[in-house]
Amino acid sequence: MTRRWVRWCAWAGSSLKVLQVRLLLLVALLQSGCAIDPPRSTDALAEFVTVQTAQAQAFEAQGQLRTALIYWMTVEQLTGENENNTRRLQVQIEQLVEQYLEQASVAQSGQRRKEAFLKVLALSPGESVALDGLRELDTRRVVRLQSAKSAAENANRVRLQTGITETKLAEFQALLDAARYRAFVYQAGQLPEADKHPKFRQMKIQALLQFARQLQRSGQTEQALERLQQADLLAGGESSSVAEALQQLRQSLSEEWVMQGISLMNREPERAVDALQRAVGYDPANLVAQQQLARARKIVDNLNKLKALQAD
Amino acid sequence: MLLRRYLLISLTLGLLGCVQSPVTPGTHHDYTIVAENEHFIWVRTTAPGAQRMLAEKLLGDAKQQWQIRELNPSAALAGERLLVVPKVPVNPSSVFVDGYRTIPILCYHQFTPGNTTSQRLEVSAAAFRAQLTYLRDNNYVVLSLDDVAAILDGRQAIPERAVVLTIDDGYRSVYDVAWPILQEFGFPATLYIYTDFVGGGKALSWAQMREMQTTGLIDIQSHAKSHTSLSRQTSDTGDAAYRQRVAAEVSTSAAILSSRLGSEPLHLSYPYGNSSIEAADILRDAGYRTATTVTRGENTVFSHRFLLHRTMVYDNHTLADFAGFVDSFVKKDLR
Repeated sequence: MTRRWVRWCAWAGSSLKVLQVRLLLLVALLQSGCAIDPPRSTDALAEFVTVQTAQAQAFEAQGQLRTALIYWMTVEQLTGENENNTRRLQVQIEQLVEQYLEQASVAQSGQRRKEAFLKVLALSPGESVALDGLRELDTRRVVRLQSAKSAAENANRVRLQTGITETKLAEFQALLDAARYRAFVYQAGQLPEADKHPKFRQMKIQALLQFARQLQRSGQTEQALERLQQADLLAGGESSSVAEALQQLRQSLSEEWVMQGISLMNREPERAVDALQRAVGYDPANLVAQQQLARARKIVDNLNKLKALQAD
Repeated sequence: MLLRRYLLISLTLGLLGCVQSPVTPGTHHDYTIVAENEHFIWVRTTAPGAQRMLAEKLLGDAKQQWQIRELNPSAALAGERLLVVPKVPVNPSSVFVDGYRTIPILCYHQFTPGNTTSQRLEVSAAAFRAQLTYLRDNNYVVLSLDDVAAILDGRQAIPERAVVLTIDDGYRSVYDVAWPILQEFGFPATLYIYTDFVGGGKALSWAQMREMQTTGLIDIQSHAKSHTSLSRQTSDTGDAAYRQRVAAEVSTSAAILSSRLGSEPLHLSYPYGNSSIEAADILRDAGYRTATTVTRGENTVFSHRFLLHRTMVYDNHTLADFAGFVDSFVKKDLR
């Protein structure tokens, strides 16, 4: 009995192993994708082809050529037909793409160019000329937006830092318009941070320049020079009108001191040297001033030698 | 023993050239590949939810199921059917004869529990949930910024309804309020962190960020280091000084994020949304893939990848406003 039981168990065990191996083989075959192809359903295929064909025709009728082409392509391989449809559409698309690219190249405005490029992409999504063209247009637009935003924010920051509000700016503009340059310069002096405001700085340079001219006309040339130097410093040496006015004033002052020096030459040569040194200081390129200074120095030198001889 | 036999059988079949492959014609567990060419794979299936399953198995990303849906608009939902799966995006430009698709990128900052807020940059949990419900109910595909980069590269197309969720700065309320809601919906979001803020009173900690990152839903990226504007300032003395300042902000933040979270940031949002073409060049040279501003506008396949637009979501925005923000199709007759 026991022996029979053992034999039965051995048989059952080996059968189970065989069964397990068979099952595993089946599972592995199924998973590997090499199992026997199940019966093909012609209904599913027929339905697919009918639906996709109807889609292709509908899209083509709506002028959606690219989408229609895709739908024709989805049935072409399965049926081996419709090759004519895809080829026909491809030719039509190529012709239109060429036409739209031409439109883009001659477009007068960015908007027109964008529209033409979009038409190209609607037909040929990978068209690099259109994509690059649209990217360039978009970049220009966004950079413009960012620059404007950045400028506005910088202006706002400056307004907060300097205390120059729009109202303040208008008040100073009114002083400029009324030629009240002295008042402008005096009031601006009360706002130590105001020079950091770009627009205010430009206005102040103008005020200093005009104020200097007023001073010069009234004979206060030294004060005029001081204001012009202030304006030049504020402009960072980049205002040509200030630089020009400064140069003219320096030349004019140099001439004045040359005249002064010459008039003192015989009576008070030492004072003449001082005057001519100032003339050269104002305008180092003034040759007359240089010559007269050399002459005055020689006179002083000779006088000193004479005094020394007399003392001996 | 059994495992060894199974492996042996699989190996033998593999050597015979019958290994399991998504592009091998034949029967798979849920589908049979009927035919294939360079553009498409034709598949016979009876599986419910076939579009998602095929996107996962054949395109490697369930999110791409919209591509299968668009190409098989009238396919039966049940029973045996034939479906066509596009191997490459059918329309990578996402431009059609009646207009073009865009990717709205939303920008959030802080969240409050309940349904009240105390400042403009806060969005209440109730409003946030309502917004995500709108996205889910209207079949929006919530993209990551890597998806956006792939779209700009031409490797993916824009889904019919797409949106990107981003959250700036790194407030703790993201962890407390937004993250549980995002998990509830399974929507990914990008968190742009400025590293100087981390660990502060109302800010997230590195541990919280790591916890959120491990779920795969939260992607942590850079919002620079100190939250100073990266556009040119009046205090920037010259071009070189400006570039140096921007490069330092970007590289320091990247180094900190990388050491704390284990991955280099590839996307950046400009503090205050302020940028310039020079800052964009610096990011490109540093290997970034996208950067976002806070200027509203369309993001298309031809957008500048380092000057992408975003729409700020404020506490006073209604659901109707929100619906307008995520409208992702620009109608234009291009026939």
